[in-house]
Amino acid sequence: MKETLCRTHGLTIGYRFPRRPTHVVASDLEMALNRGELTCLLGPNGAGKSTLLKTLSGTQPPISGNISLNNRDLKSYSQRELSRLLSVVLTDRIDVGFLSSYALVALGRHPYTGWSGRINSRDDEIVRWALKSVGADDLTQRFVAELSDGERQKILIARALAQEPQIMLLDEPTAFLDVPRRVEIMQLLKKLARDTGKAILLSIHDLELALRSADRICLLSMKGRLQAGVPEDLVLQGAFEETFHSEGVRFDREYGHFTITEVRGRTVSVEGSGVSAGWTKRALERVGFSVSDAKNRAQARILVVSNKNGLCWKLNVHKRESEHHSIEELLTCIHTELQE
Amino acid sequence: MPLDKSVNQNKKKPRSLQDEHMPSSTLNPYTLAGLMLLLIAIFFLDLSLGSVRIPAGDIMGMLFGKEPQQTSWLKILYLFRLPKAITAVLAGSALAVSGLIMQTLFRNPLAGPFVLGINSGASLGVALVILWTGSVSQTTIFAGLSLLGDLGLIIAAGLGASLVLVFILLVSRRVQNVMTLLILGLLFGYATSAVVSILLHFSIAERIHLFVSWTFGSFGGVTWKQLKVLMPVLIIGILISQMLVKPLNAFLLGESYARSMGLNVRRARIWIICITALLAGSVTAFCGPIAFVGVAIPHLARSLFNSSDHRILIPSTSLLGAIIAIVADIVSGLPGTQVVLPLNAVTSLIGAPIIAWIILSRRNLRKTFAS
Repeated sequence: MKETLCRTHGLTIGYRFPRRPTHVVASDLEMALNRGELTCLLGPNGAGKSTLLKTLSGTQPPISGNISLNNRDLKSYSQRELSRLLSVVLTDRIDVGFLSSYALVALGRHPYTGWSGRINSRDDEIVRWALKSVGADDLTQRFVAELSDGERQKILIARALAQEPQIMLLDEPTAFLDVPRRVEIMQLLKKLARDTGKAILLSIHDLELALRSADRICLLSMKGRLQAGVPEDLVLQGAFEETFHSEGVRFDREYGHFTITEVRGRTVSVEGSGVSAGWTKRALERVGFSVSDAKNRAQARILVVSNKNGLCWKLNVHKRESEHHSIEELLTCIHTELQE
Repeated sequence: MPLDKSVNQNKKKPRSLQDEHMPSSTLNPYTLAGLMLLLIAIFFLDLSLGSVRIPAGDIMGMLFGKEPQQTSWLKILYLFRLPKAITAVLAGSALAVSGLIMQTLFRNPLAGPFVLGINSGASLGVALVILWTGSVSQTTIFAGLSLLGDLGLIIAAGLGASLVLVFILLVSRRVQNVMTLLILGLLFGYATSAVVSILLHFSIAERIHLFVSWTFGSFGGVTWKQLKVLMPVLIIGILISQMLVKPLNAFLLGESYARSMGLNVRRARIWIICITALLAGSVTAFCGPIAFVGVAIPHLARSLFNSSDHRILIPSTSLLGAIIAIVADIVSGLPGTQVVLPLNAVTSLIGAPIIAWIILSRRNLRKTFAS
């Protein structure tokens, strides 16, 4: 049985203003974060991902509904109690110069230290453990201002870890990172969730990465609806199409990514196997052909062969055959042939 | 880090990592002692130098109740130089610390003790007392204050600064973003300087001169009687600021992180503002608006100690502020002459290039608040 650390009931999030009507961002949200699980929060820009994270972290009061952490209402926690249960990684810029990575991570001990913020040996041990678990033990002495984006993100995660929370909320921890770094951070978070039994929720824009690494996904739509579940279930239920619905973009259920929908023109067929055939198909689709396996309906047939000279593309249009040695050549030729 | 490994290999017993860090989180006791010795040395230099030079030996003697070589020295020391030096130490320290905590609160390297408009409020109060009474009928409350002389000015400046404080506190309870306060302080400064310039425009020459000389700033005008008020206020303020290290460190990452780490941001903000107002407001009331020290000293401290940790910065900034203020006081007295330069001119003209050189030569200004 999964242990739920955070659960919302009929949660409505948004902003209250003193003299203007309340701005509701999303309503009737039902979601749960389980111990040891990595949950990804996805949604289009402006759907309220950050607002939801702020509400869950107690920084912003909900409009209605409630949030229970460890089966206790969020409102009943004192700020100090809450800081020992839940920690965050925000998108706020960190601009302190003379602060070493160690010192930054040590700030995470704030809820546990005395009035002067002095770090004792147990705190020191935890800070070191946190730095080690994000793989940043070699950055200990470096100034935060000198770190790369990826390194800084690790340090911020270590800081959140040093707070010894049961729940961690991260607002776009992979933004500004290159692809390998994103994957690395996701793997790291997943491992942390597993190994330390934390419930981790992060907002992210990288759909494929989320689909591949999340234990659960929460989809927040522009209409303020939330759908939660195991990634694959959501794909099959068509939740992604619904959430990210927009003109000209199509969710490809087979591959779990978005493709640009264009008015598909002529049909071409591709024969051959392996990576080269796959990329040929992608190239053809990219320039607006519809690729099919049925040879009889195709107006052009392409055969990808690999011989001793390397790759070769054999094109058959209107019974005319030609050979090409790169996809670029192939595309130029197929265009001119089919124009006629 | 390869460097670390080689260090560890060279020393047969690898230093524990804890040893590497513990010194960096608090001020090294030797540095602390060194700064204190420097402060004491310069303090005595300040007592000894001036229009009349008193040998250090005689000063020590007089402080322990011995008769000096010349009886006039006793008067000079007790009535003038000692209160002046004590004021310089406390005021320098107070301004530097309040500058530091404002820079941290606003996360802005250009912030200083006066960003909230505390000096504007004080100068408005003083301007009303000095300038208005000179031109309008003598029946106003300000005229009453002006009859009290220096004390009247202090009360006026104090009232002005406190009014600003009340205003800022009322606003700070409502606003979410601390930057709003910064902008309000700035706008308030413009508004008051406009009022002051109108008052200046309609005032008479002697009054204007009096006001302008107040804006020059001075540690010398504080009497023992006034010091009895100023000294405990500043000492208490500086002591309380030493206890704010933990919230100040939490503020380093911004208010959202501070809140997420369990800090009561609103309460901490009010404490920081109140301490700044207390320190900067009372210094301004008694010594005039002293520029530069509050903005520059925190940068000097960060630069010298390579740290943004307030456990290092608060004590070092208070000591450095005291040292620089007392040096400025010595220079403004132009030892050996009867001339006294305006304190503000000295702090800025001589202090600014020196500190600029220190910071630039260490090539780490950028890091103070990395962009």
